[in-house]
Amino acid sequence: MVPLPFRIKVKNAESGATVEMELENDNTIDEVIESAATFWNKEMGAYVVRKGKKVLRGTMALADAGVREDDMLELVPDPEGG
Amino acid sequence: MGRPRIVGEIRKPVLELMPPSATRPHAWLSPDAAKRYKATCATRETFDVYLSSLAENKILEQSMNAAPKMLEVMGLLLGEVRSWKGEIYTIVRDVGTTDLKNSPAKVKFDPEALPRLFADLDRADFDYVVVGWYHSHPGHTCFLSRTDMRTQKAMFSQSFHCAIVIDPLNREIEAFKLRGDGYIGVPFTIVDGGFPRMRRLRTLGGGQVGQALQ
Repeated sequence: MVPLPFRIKVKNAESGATVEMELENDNTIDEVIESAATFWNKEMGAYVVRKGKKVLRGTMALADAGVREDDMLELVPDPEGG
Repeated sequence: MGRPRIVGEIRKPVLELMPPSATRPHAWLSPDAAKRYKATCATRETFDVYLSSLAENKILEQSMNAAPKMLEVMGLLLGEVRSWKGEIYTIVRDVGTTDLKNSPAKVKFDPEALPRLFADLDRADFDYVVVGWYHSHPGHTCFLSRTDMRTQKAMFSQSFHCAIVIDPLNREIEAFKLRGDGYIGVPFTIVDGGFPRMRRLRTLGGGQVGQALQ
């Protein structure tokens, strides 16, 4: 059976821009971050992605992470100072 | 399995709005920063950065609390991007932070404490943009280190993005932006009252819809 694609929104906190992204349940959080970071020409490792107050990490599939149609995720900068 | 596909983007417009006029210099400006402040008052209508007294107090308090142990502190600057007469300026309304992994020479958010940072973001009562970041250099004066520059270039490379550095021991504070391969100090000011609300929206080119941020 072919999985049905669904759409979510991903906000870039450091510009306020939002992309609409089409994905499948077995896509991973890393793939979402990579797609958004590439689109905005950003370093993937410099960000964390959140859904509400929850950090979404790494290789977890979207379905397992509880990401659903029309969800809004946010790419938040994770700076380091020295 | 297909790769995620981006099907559209909505960019946040820049508001065309006169900057606040009731402002004051920060009491901890370094001699260089004080010169920039005076020059801006004399020759320009717009500072690069307008820092609310609410944000200023939070930065000051956090950095002072960690100063006795010489620990660096850090957070995100939450605000808006505006323009006036063709000049982009940055409003910092509030800050967001959380527990840190910090030492006298390094600072990062504690990954386990990110939900508290997200709660700060959610508490903002406006449609925030992370317009930059702040951190402290206890006893080391204000500048951007190699680590700071990596952060600035990776995350805060737009013209409106700034870095505020505070030294609570030497009682200094400065705002910086990227310029070319390096960085420069930029004039900033403190706003005690609120910020004016949006009256109209237009592009820098004079159209009816705001200029998009990258």
